[in-house]
Amino acid sequence: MASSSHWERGWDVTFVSEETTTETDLTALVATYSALLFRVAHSILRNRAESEDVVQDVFLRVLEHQLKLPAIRDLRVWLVRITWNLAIDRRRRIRPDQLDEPFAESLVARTAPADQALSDARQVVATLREIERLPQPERHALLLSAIDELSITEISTILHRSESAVRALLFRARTRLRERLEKQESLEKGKSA
Amino acid sequence: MSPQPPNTYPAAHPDARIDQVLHALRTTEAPSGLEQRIAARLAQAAEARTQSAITNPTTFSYVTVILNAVKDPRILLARAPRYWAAAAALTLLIALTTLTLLHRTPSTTARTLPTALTPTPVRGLEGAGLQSRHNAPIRTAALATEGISPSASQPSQTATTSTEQQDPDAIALAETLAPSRPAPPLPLTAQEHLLLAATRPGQPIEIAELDIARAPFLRAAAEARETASINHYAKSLLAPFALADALSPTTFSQPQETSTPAPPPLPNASSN
Repeated sequence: MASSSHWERGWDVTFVSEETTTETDLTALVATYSALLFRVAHSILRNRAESEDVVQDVFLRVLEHQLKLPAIRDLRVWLVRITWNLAIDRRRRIRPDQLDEPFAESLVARTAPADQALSDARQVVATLREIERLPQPERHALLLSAIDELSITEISTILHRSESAVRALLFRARTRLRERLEKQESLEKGKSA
Repeated sequence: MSPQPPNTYPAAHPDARIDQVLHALRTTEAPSGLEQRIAARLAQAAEARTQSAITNPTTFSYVTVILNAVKDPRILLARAPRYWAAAAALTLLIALTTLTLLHRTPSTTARTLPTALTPTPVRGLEGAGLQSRHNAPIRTAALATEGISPSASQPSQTATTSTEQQDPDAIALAETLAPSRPAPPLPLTAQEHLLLAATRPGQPIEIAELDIARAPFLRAAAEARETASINHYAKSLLAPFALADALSPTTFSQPQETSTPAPPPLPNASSN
């Protein structure tokens, strides 16, 4: 469950005065946004069951605040933001190793030899660990950029930053991550040699 | 393994590994039946809320409904049949507030007027001009707020006290613009004239003489200083005499005898 501060913050940013008065159909919201919200939660949690729980929590909150929905300008960004905050809150209670290793194993080819699959899975886990070690703004920008449906404008709205700042964060995240992975790789080569 | 993103890096390149992870996150498919499970949970939650509202009506918060209705009256209008008690309470609250505001009587508590609104006699033409110039608009403005003409309010100043009590800004403004009062040009007394004449030359002895009772030591010191100066003057006058006396004490110390010339020897005796 997210803290109230996150929830209220979500309202504060996207809540605008009465512009649209159409009644929002919750079922249509579920059909439209559940897959996107699942991917958003999964980019943080990397666990399908946990991500699904987060998406369900999001729609429960939407049900609780259904009266305010007509006043929300960009419902899509608002929902993504709630999902993002709920996933971050849930992530704090879970050890990353519990989530990253099964996800990495799911990415490894089943047809590959066992030693190759183990090596690939280890590389994926190392990459995920380095992503988690990034500074928080860079990490969030990088993970949100992985979701195709979100534009830079939407990411900037979610992260409370300008578009240029988001682009700079993405560039720095990629650069830092690349450098760390190269350094790690050279260390492993030195050990094996 | 999920389909790899098209890139030009070798598999072990860091960028390739980053793209692999991001692509995997990007292409994650929602589990099948997600929408149905969400819909079922929402229906369950909505039913639970309805059940709790029916079985436990005492937990119904009228305050919350009233606060929401104040924010958006359409909520109350839409749900008035359901929340009839809340609507009645809100109506009663509005009526009480209106009555309180309409029948609010001005306070007649006696209170001292600020200096700007209590004209005090100021000696001198300049002070009077300042006072009239500053007091007139403030007083008029303060009275205009309560709908009283300045001429009508002259006899009773208690009517203005309620306005002043209610409007601290007007009081602060009036006190800020209140004219300063210069010292009245009273004639000097004889002692003050004497003091003025004594202080201008800067003679401390004369100042001490003005106030012997309060500063006797000044008087004593002045007298001692004067005696010393007289003695010094007298000594300086007698100094040549003292020097001469020291050089030939007989000349001056002994009483001078009358020098009678010795009688010439008698011719008889010499001849004897």
